[in-house]
Order: sequence, then structure tokens, then C-alpha cells
Amino acid sequence: MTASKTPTSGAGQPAPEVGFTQRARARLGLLTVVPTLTWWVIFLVLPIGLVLVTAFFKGAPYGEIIYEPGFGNLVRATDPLYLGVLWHSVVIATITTAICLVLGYPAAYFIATRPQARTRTVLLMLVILPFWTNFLIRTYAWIILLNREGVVNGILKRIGLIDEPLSLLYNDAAVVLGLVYGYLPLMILPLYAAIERINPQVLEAAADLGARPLRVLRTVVLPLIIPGVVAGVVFVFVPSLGNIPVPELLGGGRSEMIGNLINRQFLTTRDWPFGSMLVLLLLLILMGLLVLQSLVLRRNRKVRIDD
Amino acid sequence: MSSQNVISIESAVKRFGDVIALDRVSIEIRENEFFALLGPSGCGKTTLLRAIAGFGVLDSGRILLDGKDLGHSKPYDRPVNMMFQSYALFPHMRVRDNIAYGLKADHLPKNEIEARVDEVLGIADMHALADRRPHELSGGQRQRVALARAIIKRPRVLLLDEPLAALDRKLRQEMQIELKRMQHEIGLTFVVVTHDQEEAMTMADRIAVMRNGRVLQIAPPQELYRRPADRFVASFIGTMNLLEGTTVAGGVTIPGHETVPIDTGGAGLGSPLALGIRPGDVRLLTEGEEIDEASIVLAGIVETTAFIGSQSHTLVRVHETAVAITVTASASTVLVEDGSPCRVALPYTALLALPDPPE
Ligand SMILES: Nc1ncnc2c1ncn2[C@@H]1O[C@H](COP(=O)(O)OP(=O)(O)O)[C@@H](O)[C@H]1O
Ligand SMILES: [Mg+2]
Repeated sequence: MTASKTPTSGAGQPAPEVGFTQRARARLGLLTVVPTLTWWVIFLVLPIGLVLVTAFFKGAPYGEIIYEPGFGNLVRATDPLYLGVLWHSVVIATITTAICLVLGYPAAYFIATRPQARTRTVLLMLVILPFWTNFLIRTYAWIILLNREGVVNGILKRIGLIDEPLSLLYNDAAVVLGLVYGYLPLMILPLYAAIERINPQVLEAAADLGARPLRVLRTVVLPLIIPGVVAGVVFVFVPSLGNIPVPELLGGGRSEMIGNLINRQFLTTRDWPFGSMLVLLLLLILMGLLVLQSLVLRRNRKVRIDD
Repeated sequence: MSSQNVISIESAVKRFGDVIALDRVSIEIRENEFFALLGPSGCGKTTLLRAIAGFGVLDSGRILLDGKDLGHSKPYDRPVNMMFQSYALFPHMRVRDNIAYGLKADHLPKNEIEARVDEVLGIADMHALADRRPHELSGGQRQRVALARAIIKRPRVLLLDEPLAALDRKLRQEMQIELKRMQHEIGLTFVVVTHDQEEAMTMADRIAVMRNGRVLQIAPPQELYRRPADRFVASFIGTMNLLEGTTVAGGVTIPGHETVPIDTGGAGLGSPLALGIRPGDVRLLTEGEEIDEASIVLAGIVETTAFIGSQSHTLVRVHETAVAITVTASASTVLVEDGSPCRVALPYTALLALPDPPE
């Protein structure tokens, strides 16, 4: 049993030392993984494990947990009341994602096709800028803009378009608006990255061969940016679906989403097992989405960008 | 030639900020001609080709196609196709779909598209690769797909931007012949951009030599070689020995020699003018040898001799001016050793008067 030679070790180095170095390196490698692993176990595996287990126990009126396994929570979750909230959340998140896609694509295309690198950098900075402010504060700002005595109603009244203030807040539209505003950058960035990777001459070649702009978009641009579209859709859909502050503040309880419902189970109703079951359902939906994503990407993998 | 002009470029000007990429360029390109735009990198060749295709609006001047001003018409409305320097194949499409793209954009019937794609696949010898994607092809194969894609619509003019630059030397030489053959076979007008004078000389019927956005000379290859318009063209096309001179009444003087009687082409008296001579026209004189022809005879020493195939290239350093003169001869006739004194004769009849190119 002798230590095997590694191609990386220099010539003339004694063999045992090579083996030692290798083993030491392996141990060191393991050591560097420990923090990540610890983090992963404490903040991901444990909580999800707890949720998974708790979901199948029973909640009692004062927040205790009765440790009798059963499917009671699952049955309760299929109540039309709760399924309705879940469905409503999916609809809101889908609309939000669709609007982000429609608004984000032209923005990303515009930025990616600026000839000067500096222009692109500045525009991208503007896209990212809102992230430097707390999400809650930015959401509150919409209340100031949209309430009955707010800026928007004020302007509309001043220019004589309306006599009575409009109810702009506390409806689904306000929630979608808040979500689109909050997550649009998460759509623009991956789209931008995908568009920027396209060789501009490929688009010119399409035009040269007789394709009008819409045809170029459909037959060349879209197929080439599918990975970016998928990433953007996931980035926007996921935080929209489970969003808590936006429906809370801009929906005012009239447009409750699954996140609010879960939040209530844990903090108000204190029915942790039922809350856990709802979390589990939400996770299942998101996992389904991720599976869908990987399927789309696998189909698309054959496509590579020519340099 | 009585053939008609397909493309007429009239005084085209294009600026990018301070850079003048095209400076009053006027070129006529004839039907079924193989036309080359030749010049060093950055002289405006690509800019001109793109302007013909409809990319980048001219600042002034016109481009006519079959006598009609193309104006601001869009690339997709011009019966002109381009093969891009980067090939610009559609990475997500099979070879077949890349080639069919232009016909599909024109909404041709499906069976006609298929028939024509098959035909072009045959011309490009690509049948076996029809279902591959671009990333599964070699550089030479990509080049063929790009060419096939550009010819399938039978454009009035096919524009090729450095079509062979990405290929290795041997393949490039093969493809030069191949391109020429294909152009002949399918009967299209080709405009090829290149910075390689050998390539232009091999393929083109006529060549426009460009520099700093200007066209210096338009002529067939032989004429460019024999009668270059100025010293830039002279040195760019092949090797040219240059002697600095001054125009005087009745010709040109170079220091220490009698006036060479030569047509100075209207250059003002006393202005600088170079005398040029091709290496093959210079005679290397043996000890005591005299020459009957009227010639400039210069004394110098032999620096080096290189034998390339059946030819020898001898570099002679002239004593008075320290100018290096290259002499090309058949290998057997040159017997002078490196470092030995010698004389070279430059026959008047082989000398060319070469003004400076316009700035
Ligand atoms: N889009 C552009 N923006 C700014 N300058 C350009 C642009 N395209 C070309 N140029 C400049 O115009 C000149 C001619 O370029 P080009 O036509 O590409 O030359 P060539 O093809 O002969 O190498 C160069 O100096 C180049 O830097
Ligand atoms: Mg170029």
C-alpha cells in the first residue's frame, strides 16, 4: 500500500509526503464544508422536518399541540374556504408574473441593446436601486400614493378627471400592483442577462434574410432566452405566491393570500399543526414549479449560444 | 464590358463620431461580377457592406440597386443577402432550418422550401449534416452553412464579410477556389470584403482598394499589380521597392542620378514622388556586367538571400540611401554571397511613378 502519485505534485517530491498532502487536503476540504452544512441543517432541514412532522399532529384551542398523528389537517385544508385562498394566491401570483414578463421584456431588451457599456450599467443600477430600500417601506409608500386622500387621487381631482376620490387601495389590483412593483427587477435581470448573451449579428442575420421585427422576436429571440424567461418567472412567482406584506398592507384583508393565512395560523390562531399543513401544501406547489422549470430547461439544453 | 451595374454607390459618407468610416465612396458593381473590397483593418469595408445590406444609415450619398435608390429601406425589404463575419448562425436551429429561414420568412410553400433547401444542401455538400446544430459543426462546416443560408434566396447581390478569415490557411485556400467556382456556377453577383490581398487577387474580377474610408483604386487584379495608383496600393498589393524622388521637368530625379524620364501624372514640379519597381523587374548585376537598357544602377551589398521554391529573394542594401531593394529571380541565376558587394539595375521601363495616397 503506497500513496498514489498525483499529477499535481511537483517532480522529485517524496511519495509519502504526497499522500499526506492529499489526505490533509481532503480533511481540509471536509472542514470547509462544515459551516455550510451546519447552516443548511439548522435553517433548512430542521425547520422543514419540523413542519413535516407537526403538520400531521392536532392543534388545541390554546396553542398546544396534541401529539396524535392523523390526516385531520389535510382534510381541513381541502375545505373550499382554504382552497379558495390558495387558488386566489395562485391567480394573483400568475397575473403578477405575466405582467412582469410583459413589462420586463421590453425593458430588458432596451437595456441589453444599448451600444455603450456605461449606459447599460447605469440603467441596470436604476433597476436595482429600489432594493436598497426596505421592502416594507416601499410598500407603505404605495399607501401614501393610493389612499383616498393620497397623491394620485389629489392629482386626478386637481386636473378635474374625478369629483369623488377613487378607492384605489384594498383590492386585488392594488395587491398585483404592489407585487409587480416589488418584483419587476427580478424579471428584468435574468431577461437582460439572456438577451445580452445573444450575438447581435444573429438578429441582424434574421432581418437580412427577410424577417420583420416580430418574426425575429418569435423565431430567434424568444427561443434563445427561454432559460432567462424561466428564471424570471420563478423569481417573480415564488415570492409573489407566498407574499405576506403586500396583501396585508395593500389588500387590507380583502385580498387575503396563502401567506397571510399561514401567518395567522402561527401568530393569531396559534394552530401550528394546521399552519404547518398549509406550509406543506405551499411547498408542494413550489416544488411542482421547480420540476416544471427543470423539464423546460432540459428540453432547451440542446440550445447553446454561439460565440 | 457592357454588363449592367447592379449596385451603384454614389459618394457615400458615414461618420462614427470623429471617425470617418466612409469618405465619399463611389463604386459601381456589375452583374455577375466577383467584386472585392480590399484594405487594412478599420478602413471601412464592413461599414460599406452593411450600408448595402441596410444596416446603418449613410450620412450622405446614395446606394442604387438596379438603378433604384435604396434610400432608407429596411434590411428585410432588400433583395440582398449577407454572410456575416461571425457567420451568425441561429444556434437553436438545425442546419436545415438555418438554411430554410430566409424562404420561410418569405412564406413560400412548404414543398418548394424543402426542394430548394435540398438543392442548396447539395451545392454546399452538407446533406449528411442537415440535422446537426451549429455547435456540432467545425469552423469550415459553419462557414458552408452560413454561405448556403445566404445564397438560397438568390439575392441580387451576395455580400460576404471576411468569409474565410476564421478558417485555417489550407482550408482557406481551398475555399477561395470553391467560392469562385460556386459564384460561377450559380451566377450571382458577389461582393467580398477581405484584408488579405492574396485572397482578393485569387478570387476577384475587380478589386476596390480602400484606406481610411476612401477608395484609392478600382481595377482588375492584374492592373492593380501593374499600374497601382499610388504608393499605398503599390505596397499593399504584393511587394514594391520604393525610391524617394522629386518631380522635375520631364520626369523624376533621385539623389545622385540623372533624371528618369517618366510620366508624373500631373504632380506639381518639385513635389515628392516615389519611384517603384517590382522585385521581379530588378536585375542583380554580376561583377563587371553592363546593362544595355536605360536603367538606374545602384551599388550596395547583399544582406540575405531566401530561396522559396524555385525563386530566390535577395535583399540588397543600397550604399547611398540605405534603402533595401528586393530582387526576385529564378533560383539558379543568383550566385552572390551574403555580405558581398553588388550592383542592381532598375530599368526605366519597369519603373512606376507613385504619388502619396490622399489623406
Ligand atoms: N458602430 C460603430 N461605432 C463606432 N465606430 C465604428 C462603428 N463601426 C465601425 N466603426 C469605426 O469605423 C471604422 C471602419 O470600421 P469597419 O467598417 O468595421 O472597418 P473594416 O471592416 O474595414 O475593418 C473603424 O475606425 C471603426 O472603429
Ligand atoms: Mg470588418
